[in-house]
Amino acid sequence: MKAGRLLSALIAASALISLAACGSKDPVNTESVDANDLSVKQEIKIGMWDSAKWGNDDIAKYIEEKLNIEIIPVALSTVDYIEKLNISAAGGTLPDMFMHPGYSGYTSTLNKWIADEVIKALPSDLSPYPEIEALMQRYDFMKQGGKHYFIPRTVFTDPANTYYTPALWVRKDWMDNLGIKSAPADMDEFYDLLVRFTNDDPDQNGKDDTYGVTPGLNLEWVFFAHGIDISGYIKEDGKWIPGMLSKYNNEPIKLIKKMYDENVLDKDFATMKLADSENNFCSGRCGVVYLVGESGPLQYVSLAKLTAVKKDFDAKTDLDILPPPQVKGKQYLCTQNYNFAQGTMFNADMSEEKLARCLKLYDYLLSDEGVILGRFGVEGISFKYEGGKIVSLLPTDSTGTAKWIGDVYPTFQITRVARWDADGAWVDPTVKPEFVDLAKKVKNLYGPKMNEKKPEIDFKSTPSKDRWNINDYFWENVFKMVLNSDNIDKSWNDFRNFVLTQKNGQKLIDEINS
Amino acid sequence: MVGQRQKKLSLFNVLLTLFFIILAVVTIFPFWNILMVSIAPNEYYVKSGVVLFPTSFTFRNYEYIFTSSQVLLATLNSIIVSVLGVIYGMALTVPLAYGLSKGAFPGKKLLITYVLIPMFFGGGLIPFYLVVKNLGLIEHLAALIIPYGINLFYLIVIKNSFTSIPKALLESAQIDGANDFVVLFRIVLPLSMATIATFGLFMTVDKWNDWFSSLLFLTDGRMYPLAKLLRDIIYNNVNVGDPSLINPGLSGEQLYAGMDGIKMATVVIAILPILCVYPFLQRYFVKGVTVGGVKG
Repeated sequence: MKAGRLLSALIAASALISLAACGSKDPVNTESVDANDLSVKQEIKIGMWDSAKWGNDDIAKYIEEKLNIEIIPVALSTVDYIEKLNISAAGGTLPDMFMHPGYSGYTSTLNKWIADEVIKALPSDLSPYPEIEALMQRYDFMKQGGKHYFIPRTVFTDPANTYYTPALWVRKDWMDNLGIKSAPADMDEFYDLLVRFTNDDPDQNGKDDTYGVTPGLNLEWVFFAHGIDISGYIKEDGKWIPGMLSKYNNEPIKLIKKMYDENVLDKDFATMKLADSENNFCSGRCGVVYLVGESGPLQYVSLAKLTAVKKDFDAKTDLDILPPPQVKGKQYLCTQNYNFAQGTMFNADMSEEKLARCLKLYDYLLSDEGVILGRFGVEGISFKYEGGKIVSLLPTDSTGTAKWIGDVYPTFQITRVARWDADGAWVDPTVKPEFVDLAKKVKNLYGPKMNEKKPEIDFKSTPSKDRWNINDYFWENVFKMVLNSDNIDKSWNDFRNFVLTQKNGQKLIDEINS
Repeated sequence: MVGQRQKKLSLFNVLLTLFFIILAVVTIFPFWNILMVSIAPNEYYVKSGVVLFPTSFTFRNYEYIFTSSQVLLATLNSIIVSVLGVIYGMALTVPLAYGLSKGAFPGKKLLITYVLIPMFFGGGLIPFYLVVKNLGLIEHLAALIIPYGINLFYLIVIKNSFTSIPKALLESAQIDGANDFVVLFRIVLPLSMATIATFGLFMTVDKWNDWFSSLLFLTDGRMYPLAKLLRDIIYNNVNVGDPSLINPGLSGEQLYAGMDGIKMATVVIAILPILCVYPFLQRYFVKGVTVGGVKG
């Protein structure tokens, strides 16, 4: 009996600890505040990738002084930040403002956090924050119950740039070696190019050691080229459906299989990591790769890896961007359209005063001055104006090239809370003009829109849609078909029917079309 | 002369030897490749992908790591967590195992049942997180040590190991006037060194490789142990100028180019201490585990 009482006491103690741990939230002050009153210093915890090294540099000091805040970085890792934020949300330890994918595949989490009052709505009157107000007007379709809970992080600062940035890179020197003067106009010519890269010794080393294309990011471009946006929703037979369930996906899969069977596609395409794919392209094993077509990545990958193998590499003569190949007389192009990736949410537990200061910070980061801060740093310290033009004062390396701002001021990354600023690299003094030209070529080739996008569909919240996540499952099955199937049409139909009936595909279609 | 009889060279023996040679190569090759990539020049790795014997060597990746204060700090954090974690774990596990290994006392079965329950039914991640949070351990290295004091599986095996010590030994010590502390430290522990060394090593490896606790409880990158930093470096699509690594003078392209080598050099540094300790403690393994494993 004594031991029984001891056990009961231990269990009761455990239960008490759990109950204490599940204590209620602090009440939220809902009084209206003057957003321009910066007299009281606020401590702001910011959850952001790569913030581990934010420090007390000039950019941090400038922002902290200007807005009378103390920035406390909460380091999130790209690999597991979703899990970290989920645990923090459950434990009531979310940062004051934090980055989250939100509508980029995590709508159900967003909805749950709204319902559970984990995140805070933006004030209905955003006039004290004109930059945020202007931005959110463009994303009005994101409102839930008439309120905004998520500020999207724009990819391009210029809202006119809405294209999807990955592109087909090609070894232009190989094309020249083979006497190919112009980019392939359609998929047949594109395929011929890949075959010639495989069979005609494009590097002229006398060895049969090359092939056509390596996946890079993935093989979505084959589907895009066929007019199927597998990253979103498309209209087929009068109904909106996920692009991954298009009945016409058999055609791009057949093409991938043909490329694989005829050895023009990387043999390891199904298991390949991005870095290995980059290495295969840069080491001269294949002639085409699908990678991000922004000037920064173009320069880094090229100079880091292509120059390691081809000592006299010159981006002007050795590298080019291929247009998306036409299929059936149409040049389909996939666009990003909504121009955002991830976004910022705000912890519901913070006071209105702190929310106002967080929004003030965000508003500043979105402003023209915030853009310049993110690109060039602080005036008088890291840049100066000369004749109306910005001149970098950043230290230079041994070759006389100005160092990248992120190397000098790690806190510059805070400006990435508000935007990726992909077009910022076009004016970055550390990016060489030839790579900016290539990036602008991507814009011109890939910029036009492909499918009709409908925000009411893309941002519609339904039970099945919010839980819909078959990306990995889709690719896994596409790879299986390419590697094993003798009848792609049948395999694709079987897979599609299975997803429609067993994975809630039909239910999702019914819900979004209702 | 049975002892000197020569072994026959049978086909089976040849096949078996071949099989184990292949197995050894397959096991060792990934480690070898990691080591070689870490010391191969970048252009060599980009060209070949897999590196068996690079034609030239460079220690630039190691230079980079050892001038990166974050890697050094993470190594120090790992050492602190491993050393203190093992001492703390042993300090809790050994007395409890000794107590449970002793003869009958009131409520012993119930206590053992209470100890065993969490081995089969976990409380769940969120309640665990909340308990640690309410103990005020979030954002402290102590969060990687204090909540993980006792591994119940290790406790049971150590307890069984203690039980296997002949009772007569313990009783004779008690007749000579030794109390439980003296019996534990003068008789039980010296006789169980194989078990203690084995599980000490297991605990060290657990602590050294533990990245998940720091994911849960830490957000300040300066407190990350090496396992978490290594995971971030390997799985992140590390960008040029990534502030999670301090750049000691490499340009963006140089840093990007060296990332594969830097990753592998970090792996080498992370596995080296454990790799060095294993051979010295290996002789205890079989004895240590079997002694505690045979008796229930």
